[in-house]
Amino acid sequence: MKLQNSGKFIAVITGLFALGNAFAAPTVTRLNPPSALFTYADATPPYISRFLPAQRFDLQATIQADAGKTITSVVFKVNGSPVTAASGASAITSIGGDKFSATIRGYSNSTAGVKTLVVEATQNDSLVATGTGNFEIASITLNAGRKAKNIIWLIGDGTGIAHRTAARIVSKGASLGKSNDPLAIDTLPVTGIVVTHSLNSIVTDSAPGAHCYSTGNKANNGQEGVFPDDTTDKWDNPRIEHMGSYLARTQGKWLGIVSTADVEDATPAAFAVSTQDRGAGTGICDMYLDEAVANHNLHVLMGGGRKWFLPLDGSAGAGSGRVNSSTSGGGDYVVPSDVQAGWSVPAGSVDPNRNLIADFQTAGFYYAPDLAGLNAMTGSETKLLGLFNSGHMDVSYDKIAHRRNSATIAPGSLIATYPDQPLLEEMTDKALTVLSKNANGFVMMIEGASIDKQAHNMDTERWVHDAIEFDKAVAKCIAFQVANPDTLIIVTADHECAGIAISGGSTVTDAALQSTAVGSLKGIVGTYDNAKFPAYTIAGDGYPTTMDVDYRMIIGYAGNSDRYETWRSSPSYNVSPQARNTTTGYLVTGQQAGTGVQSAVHTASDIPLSAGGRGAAAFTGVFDNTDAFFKAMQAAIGGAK
Amino acid sequence: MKKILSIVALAAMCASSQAATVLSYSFTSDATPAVSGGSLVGTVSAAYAYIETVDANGDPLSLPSFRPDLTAPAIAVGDPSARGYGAPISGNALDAVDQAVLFSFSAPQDISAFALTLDNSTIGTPFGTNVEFYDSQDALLYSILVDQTVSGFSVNQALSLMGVSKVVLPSGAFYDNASLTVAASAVPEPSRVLLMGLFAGVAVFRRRRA
Repeated sequence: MKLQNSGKFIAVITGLFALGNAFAAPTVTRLNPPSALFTYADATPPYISRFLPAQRFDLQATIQADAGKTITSVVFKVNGSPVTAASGASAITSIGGDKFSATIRGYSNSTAGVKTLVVEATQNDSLVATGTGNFEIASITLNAGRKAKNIIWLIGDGTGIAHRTAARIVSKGASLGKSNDPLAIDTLPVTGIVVTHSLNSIVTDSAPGAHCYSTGNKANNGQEGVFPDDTTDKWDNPRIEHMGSYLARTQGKWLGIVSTADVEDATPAAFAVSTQDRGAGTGICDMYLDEAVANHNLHVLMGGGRKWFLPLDGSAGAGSGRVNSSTSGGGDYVVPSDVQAGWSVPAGSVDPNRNLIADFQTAGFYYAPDLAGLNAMTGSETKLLGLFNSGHMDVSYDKIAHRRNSATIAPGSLIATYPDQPLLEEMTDKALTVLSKNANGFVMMIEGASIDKQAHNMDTERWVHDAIEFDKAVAKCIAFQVANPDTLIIVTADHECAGIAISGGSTVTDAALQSTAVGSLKGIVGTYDNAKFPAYTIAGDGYPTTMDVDYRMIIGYAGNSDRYETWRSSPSYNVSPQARNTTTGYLVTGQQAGTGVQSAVHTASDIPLSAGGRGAAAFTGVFDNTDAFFKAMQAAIGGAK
Repeated sequence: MKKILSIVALAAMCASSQAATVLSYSFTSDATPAVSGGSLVGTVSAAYAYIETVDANGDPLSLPSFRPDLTAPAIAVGDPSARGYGAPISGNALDAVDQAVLFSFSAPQDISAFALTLDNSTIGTPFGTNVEFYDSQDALLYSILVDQTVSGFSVNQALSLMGVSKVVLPSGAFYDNASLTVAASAVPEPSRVLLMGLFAGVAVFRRRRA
């Protein structure tokens, strides 16, 4: 009996202790790299985070300490072995609310397989919080064949199947049931289907949608080159080494980034920058020079976005938005000391009067402000910076119209200020000339940005035109690949935009369309047999003579917002679909108006991928967007038959 | 009897020493070795290579097999510094940056030593780079790690490998001053046959005595 009572007493005391600990124990609330094991206690595949052997990435944990307590030490263990940080490359930082962020920067692992990651955080009262996750080191088959010396990613932003089809119908035509000619994209021998989800949504935005190709990992929407954390600092997130950096340090390759967007935009930045804020303008552009030129061998950077490069004091001309951000204030960057130590990068600084163009030139870059500048290149240049607009470059529809008639300047465009903007195919040509000078090859990302931007805007004529422009850039790359067989070309997208559907064809001429009463515009859509084969004429410059042909192709938008539809091209550039044609078009209702849905939106639809050249055979089937990274890196590191 | 055995062993050692063949590759202008010591039985050839994992029907091979890549260009040598791989070690070096190099013997060889020097750079595949030795059935006999991320990494190692048919240098680096010492001919020379016969005779004699 005595023994029984003492047993009960011990049980009660133990229970009280357990209860006390349950209410007052530090906990690990986040563990990076992200894993299903940590988040859902699911140790089975697919493993969320995956890396190349020797690819660097940060280990990070957020620990919720008890009220008034601090975390005094944190140990990360991989497969049971403590990870030792390089000098200065670790930190335990108080981030408010009794939370602490612990990091080890620049970790890597060279042995293929699934690794268990455990973090043990000790509070100043000796209580210990533990979290367990995992990650995978991918297996690369070495000596599988000759390596892909050059890798070209062509990203038609937002380009789903229907965007390609529309570009083919307009630029190549179709009759008697067959396309008259293929797009350049169509001639690539291998096709796959890509799943595009981001880390935190089935619907990705362009930052994680491109980050996956550059790092092999998932990111949250709005973030690029990093995993999410719990701090407000946009520059301290756990990083993942980009493809450009990995291939620069292991193979001496050069990196090229070419876009028709502002170079600060998500897709270009996702190939070289590390931030949780895709809109962190000046900081992103500074990072191109401060980090990517040094560590990724960035040799070509072309697109719009000159405003981020000009000093705020106006000393290099007007038009600067420097030290700003397209999403929130304070876009310049300063990285914490553990990032500096772990990644061998400078601290950065808030420097509103930095002349970033001059700094690029000092670093050996040839600067081209326009097409004439590109054409003035001597051919000996090994580094090229081209900034052709203050923001996003104008679209090919308006650039071509201006080239054909210099008096044609679309309202809303910046053609008047930047009348000599190159086409994507011209930028591609120059980029290839520069990058091909490296005997060790290159990685280049070429983005047709406004296929997405104008699909958002439901401006059919402009995104179709840019899809044609994009295909011409693809053609340049295919010609390069034919001359340089050890080149891998991957043509894909980051996501589908707007839920494009080619519904049919107009049943009336353009003249009749203009005279059709608003109330009858809906009735001109010919479906099935009545769609027939819309016919466009291609001018000598390779672009349609007009998009306003008789019996034109009709596009529907499943990912739409409200718009006023006339079925005709808009004379003005970048006018909201809810403000455009309000008196001449009929209202097509879409999603609820609100932040983010005033325009058509990205969808979760799978996207097509076409590939050609060394290693292309692997890009078949249905696969995750991160898989594309590993397929490309197999070709670059291990080679392919 | 011990005296007789010593004499026989000494004779065998001398014979073996005389039979050793050293293949020295300077990679000055091509991948042809300078041969010293005895003459090599058969021939050795070099080619860019790939590892084959399936047979002609697409079925998995029981062992992956390194094969010459008939679509690849001819073996190239060049100045590593021209590709940013550091100053040359001694003029030109073997360019294996983009593809592995396979040395194939027409007759299996016994390898007693191997030496190799890498380019003077830290550029290179940062994992899994091994020089590998295979027999005629594609069984891996031995591998030596060559760290391509260490500038001027070198190997100089005694080996005892029998029946080597293939030696593979992994892709990702320039290689120079390669040396393969063939311990003894796979097809024994007449003097060696005689010595081996003597060994056998002595062995039989000793067993009977025991």
